[in-house]
Amino acid sequence: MEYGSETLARVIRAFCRLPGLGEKSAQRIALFLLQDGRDEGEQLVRTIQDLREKVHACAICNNLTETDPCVFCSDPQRDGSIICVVEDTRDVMAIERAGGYRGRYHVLGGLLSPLDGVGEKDLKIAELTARLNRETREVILATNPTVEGEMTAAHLARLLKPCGVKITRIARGIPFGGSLEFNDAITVSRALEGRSEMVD
Amino acid sequence: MAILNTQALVLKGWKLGETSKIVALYTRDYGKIKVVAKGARDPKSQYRGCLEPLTHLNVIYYDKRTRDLQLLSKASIVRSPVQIIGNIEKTTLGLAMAELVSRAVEGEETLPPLFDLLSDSLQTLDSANGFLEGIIWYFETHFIRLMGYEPVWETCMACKDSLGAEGGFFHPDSGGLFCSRCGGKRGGFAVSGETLEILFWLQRCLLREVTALNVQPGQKAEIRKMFDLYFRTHIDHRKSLNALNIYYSLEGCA
Repeated sequence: MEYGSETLARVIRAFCRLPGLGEKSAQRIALFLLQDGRDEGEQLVRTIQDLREKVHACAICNNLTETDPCVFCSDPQRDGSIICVVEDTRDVMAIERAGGYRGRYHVLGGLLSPLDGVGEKDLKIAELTARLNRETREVILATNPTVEGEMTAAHLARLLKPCGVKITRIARGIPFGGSLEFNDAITVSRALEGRSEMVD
Repeated sequence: MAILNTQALVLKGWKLGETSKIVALYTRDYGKIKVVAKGARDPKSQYRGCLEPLTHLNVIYYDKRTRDLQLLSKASIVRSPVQIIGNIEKTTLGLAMAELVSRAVEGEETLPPLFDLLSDSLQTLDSANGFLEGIIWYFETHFIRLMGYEPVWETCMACKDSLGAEGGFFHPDSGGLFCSRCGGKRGGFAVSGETLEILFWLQRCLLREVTALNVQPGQKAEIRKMFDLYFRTHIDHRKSLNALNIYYSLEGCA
């Protein structure tokens, strides 16, 4: 037996299953928890238990939360008339990190993906249409600019059009610090389509 | 290990680790391969915008016979699906073609005419207006011919009489149709003469002509069912093409 302990081997195998961890890293973490980090280990167990027990999807926006509704849906300082539609919770984090957006969110839980058989019913699209009301002025489609992201945005735009709300798409184009020369045709053509007037 | 240079069409991609990607490519010279594109999801990557499905590329990759995953070294865009992206009908139809190739082509089977068919069909889809579904019907018609599964459309499989305006009974298991006299005994799926006429035409027409097709709803339903049954019988028993199912489900939203 390589590790001399079946329990240690089991812990290393369990860590190996986590994203981004290879066997060497898993081994290092397991040995740290065993030798020097017993307190950290116990804390980690409690934190993971809390994660499993307390964190769930918000009933309104489907974002991960400990309260229902979540902090974004219940914050009266946020503009309830704007809904930003994203693929998953990581996108909410990225937008919040950037700052500047003070509206609400809607997390789809994925994208339309014909090759994987993910259709409209597998996403929180019905929930999005159901939450649109008289107060809603704008829906921002903030799915990633990939084949699947663009397709999902196009589908949502078509679906929401009869609701009479303003539907916008996040801008796509040349990234800050980039150059036209090294960008692909789709990026350059979208950047030109989405050009905006220079203001003083 | 060899360094290979070829044209390729991106079929599908999967995330790998924090910034890399695995990409399934259908290449002109080496069939279907999977490559690792290291750092492809990094915003500064040389592959940024290159490795999205349906993109036509020139690729250079390291090929090692003993492994299933090859290593991508360089990719440059030959043609981006500019008009397909963002158009939901075009995207689902383009992905249906990619899905069919992905499911039907086993490993590194080299078939340059199939590569050209897929490339031409995607290029036509990109710039097309009109009856877009005609493009995938054309693709499917020629795909089954190139793969060696072409059904007998013109004559009855039993009595060899020509199938004319009265249509016939489609038997995917037998690889063709029976006339009303012979088919009556065997069951099968009834196909009208008008539908057969469209199928004959698809074999002979030019790709750019198919978007001008004027198809009645009944014929459309028959053609969809025929291709679906045929692929499920001869290529993949498990299920219909996911992308086409989504395309059909979206029709109601148009």
